[in-house]
Amino acid sequence: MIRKVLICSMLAAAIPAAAEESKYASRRWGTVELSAGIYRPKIDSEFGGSGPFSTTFGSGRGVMFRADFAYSLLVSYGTLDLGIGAGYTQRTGKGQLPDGGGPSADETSIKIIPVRLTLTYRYDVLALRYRWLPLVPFGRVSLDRYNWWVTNGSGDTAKAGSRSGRGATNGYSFSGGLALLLDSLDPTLARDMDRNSGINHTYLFAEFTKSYIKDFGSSSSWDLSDDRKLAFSGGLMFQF
Amino acid sequence: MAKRLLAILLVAPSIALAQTTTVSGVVTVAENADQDKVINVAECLNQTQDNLQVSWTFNAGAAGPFTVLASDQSACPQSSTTGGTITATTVTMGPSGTNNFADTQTVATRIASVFGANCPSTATTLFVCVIDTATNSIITGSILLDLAAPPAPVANTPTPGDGALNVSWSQGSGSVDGGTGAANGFRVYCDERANVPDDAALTRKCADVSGQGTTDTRIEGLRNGTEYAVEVTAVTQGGNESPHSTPRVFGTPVEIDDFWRLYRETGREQGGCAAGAGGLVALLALAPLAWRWRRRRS
Repeated sequence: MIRKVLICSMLAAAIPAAAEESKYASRRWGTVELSAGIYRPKIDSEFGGSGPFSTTFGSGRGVMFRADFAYSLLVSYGTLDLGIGAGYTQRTGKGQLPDGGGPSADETSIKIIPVRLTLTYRYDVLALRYRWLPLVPFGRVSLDRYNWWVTNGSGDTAKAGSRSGRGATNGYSFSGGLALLLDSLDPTLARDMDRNSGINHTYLFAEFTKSYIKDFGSSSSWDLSDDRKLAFSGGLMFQF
Repeated sequence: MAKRLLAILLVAPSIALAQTTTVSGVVTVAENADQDKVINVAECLNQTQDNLQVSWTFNAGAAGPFTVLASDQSACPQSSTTGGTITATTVTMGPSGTNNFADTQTVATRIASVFGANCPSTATTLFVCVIDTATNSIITGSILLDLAAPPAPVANTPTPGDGALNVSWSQGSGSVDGGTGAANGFRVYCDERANVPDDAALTRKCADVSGQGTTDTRIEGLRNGTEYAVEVTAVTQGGNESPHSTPRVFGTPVEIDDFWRLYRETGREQGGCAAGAGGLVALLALAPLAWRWRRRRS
């Protein structure tokens, strides 16, 4: 096995570095990511799996859209980015008539704007050197804050007694994924794009995230973590 | 023969020079009752006092005096076949002027003069022309006539909301007063059932809804547990209102469990206190710190 790895490494080193990052490429300083993922908050977990969320919004899963911006702290051996991001998701269902009367005509929604502070490391050394290996593994840790509010049939923020249906839940998450360097499909076009717009590289990426959005285990907070063990998302990333 | 030809050649240019040049311009017609630029049935019948105001601006070359005409046709022909063109007034003003039809005729009189009495629902436009008698130039403006009420809508039984009723209806069919005015919006009347007699139309307006194809609205600010009577009318662009929908429908608002209420019955999230932009600000504040750290390194 070790012999095979060594042989592969020697072959890789011997191939002309056709895809090696151009000496004339502009300096890399940050990234912009646009992504979408499937999301369903784990609110019903405190009711044993089936609770008010399922009653109101059904069993389907929603989509969460995100946009992230990151500044590159290191670009020499892989890329280390510190970034911020924001997203949006909402679910809409029907309010319930009193005394178990079933769904009413009034709509009710939960809307969430998640914001996060991220630290991402991408091992892009090989992808930038060898065209035949355009894959970049990456890992990310983030501090999250999910700002949420619930609306009633009038479209106003819901209230239950004196409690307003608006708040924020903090947490953290870990992600890991793989990015495909699209420059390898057409290096000439990629170089032109760098010259014209400053976009050094474009990636298509997919990632899995394990989130813990529950005010760090608070007993008076609901759980806005995704209800699956690992949440999937994907998108495009532009490296400037 | 040669002399005749010579004479023609000499006279022809002078004839051409003697021809007057047509002067263009703009005429604006407005009415002062509700200033919605549409004359409705009530204004036409003088149930609502209304006067026309005509303003015009000729380009250079007009000298006056000016004659103002009203007609059912765009060029205000003196021998209109479908109605009448009447000479409203002759005024001696400059090329730009404003005239309130100084002979004190109201909209009702003016339209009756052109279209006949009783404001026929087939009349759609009143044209007003201003003629510069010096150059015989004519410029035209117009105002819309909306002389038909729409048919009454058909209201459906309202569905209960939380302190609200969701009211829906379908557009009515048939003809009202010989016309079929197109609904441009709808008006919902509502009142507590206990407060209104059964044999009189509701008078309390609860919602005005715009949009020709609108078929529902939500009435807010009602009391849960109180039964309300509801009627709907259709309203045209000019404000002609249809008869009230029949039969009258009834609904009772009830308290609805929205998601937050449903959750709070047994859920532990407190809500309300952790909201705000503090967290976002804190996250954003870290970005400049990172920037400084990066600059210090370089």
